[in-house]
Amino acid sequence: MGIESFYEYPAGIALSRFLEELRLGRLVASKCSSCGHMTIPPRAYCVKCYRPIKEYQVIGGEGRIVTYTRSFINIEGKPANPPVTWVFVKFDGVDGGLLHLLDPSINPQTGMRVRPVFREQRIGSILDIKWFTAV
Amino acid sequence: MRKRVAIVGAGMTYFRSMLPMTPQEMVYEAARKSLDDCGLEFRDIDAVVSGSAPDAFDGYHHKGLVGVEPSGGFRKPYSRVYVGGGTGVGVAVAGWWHVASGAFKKVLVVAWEKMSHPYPHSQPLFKTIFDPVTEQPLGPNLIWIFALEMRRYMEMHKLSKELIARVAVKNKGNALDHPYAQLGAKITVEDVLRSPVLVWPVHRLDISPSSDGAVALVFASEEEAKKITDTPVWIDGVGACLDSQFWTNRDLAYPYYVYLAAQQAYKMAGIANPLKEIDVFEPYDPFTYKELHHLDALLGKPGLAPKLLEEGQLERDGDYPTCPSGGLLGVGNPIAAAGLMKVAELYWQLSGRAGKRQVPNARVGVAQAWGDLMQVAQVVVCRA
Ligand SMILES: [Zn+2]
Repeated sequence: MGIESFYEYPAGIALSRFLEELRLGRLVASKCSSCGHMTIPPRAYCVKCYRPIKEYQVIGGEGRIVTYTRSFINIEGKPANPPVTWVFVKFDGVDGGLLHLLDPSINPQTGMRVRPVFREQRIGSILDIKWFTAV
Repeated sequence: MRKRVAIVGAGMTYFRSMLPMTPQEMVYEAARKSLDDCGLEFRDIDAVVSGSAPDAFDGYHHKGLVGVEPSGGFRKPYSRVYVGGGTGVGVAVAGWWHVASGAFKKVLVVAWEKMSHPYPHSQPLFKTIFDPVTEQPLGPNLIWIFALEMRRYMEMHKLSKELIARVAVKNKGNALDHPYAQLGAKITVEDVLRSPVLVWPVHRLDISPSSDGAVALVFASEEEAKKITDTPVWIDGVGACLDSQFWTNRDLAYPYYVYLAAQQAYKMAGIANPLKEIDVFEPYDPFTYKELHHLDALLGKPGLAPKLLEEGQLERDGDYPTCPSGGLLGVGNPIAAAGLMKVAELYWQLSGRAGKRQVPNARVGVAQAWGDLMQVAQVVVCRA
């Protein structure tokens, strides 16, 4: 038995703003007007005080590696050639963080300062970031 | 007024990578055995609570329906509960609600999983658990999310791969004494470290297998339990807690949500010091490091579990026997059934019927399952 099924997902209120800013080569966080809490990727509501979000703030792209891994298999469970390095990056003063690829020329370390490398051609996608690289 | 709830019977199928049985036949076998174990019939059961992981595995939509007939759940209240990988213990928590509320006297709790249906493998089905806008375009596989967490845990407590590998050695060794186990084996730390690196630092032997299997338990009110058996095992505490969907918003080094669920269950069971008062631990161990990560939270002491492992205290004859069943790493991981297997192990241990796996003088035990995107915690505390 097999089913081919396709889905379309709207990015929604907050992530649409996120994708628009990616297209402009910038990272944006949601900022709560009531308590000031900031989150990336942005949300439509504050995860601390649960007020609706009205503000978005562009943040400097520099962050730090919280944890990382290197995958020797792809999404199908087959060997990945070459292996792919994943990093989880947090940004100063901002809750949440971004998962992304790491520049293959960089040897990752916890706490390493990194920044996103944007592609020349951007369409409003998480893939507008090519990868993160060392600052 | 809350009623006291007992486990009075248990049964399970073999856990295997491919069982030549339908899900219905597996559910029937586990349910039949659990009822035979306590001398009851399907007609004696007031309600059925079932649990199974995502529909995509079985390939049946609304697959709760699959369990209705073979569990004897038709023409009576039947429900399927689902909390991701936590479902196996979550179904026991939900079964407890049914009896503790006073609404039902005898409840059948059953969990099953048929992971061998997807062809060629169940792995690609996991892609859809990730966020479609921010994560899916990157092409994540399931294992890397755990690799990121494992890496963070290892760095936080300065843990070596050699030490963590001992969890696989212990659990696969314990599983040699489990009659239904899929992967009981005598292996060494070197075997784990020499197995292929899938997503560093996760090696092949750090991971539990894909499995088919079913487990059933019979729950009864105090009054009924005393009529049915001389060796009831009481569910004296339950806890359930979910963290945010977004794993990016929490500290990966300590599963605080597991701590909160455990504290709920301990409070209900009157347990002040789990280190002194609990004799058997069955934390969820789909990966080697997860046993330690979860045990830290069940003990409320970040970083303690690896120390106890190093001292040999987590062995079946240690002071803190952990996964005496053999766990998911040894018995197998048919997702929802694997969690309920841990509750069944508490039943067998605390009623003195665990055979070669028996922990001497076991009076109090805790079982825990975990899942979704690393944020579900379900806990039960049992007492002889
Ligand atoms: Zn706020």
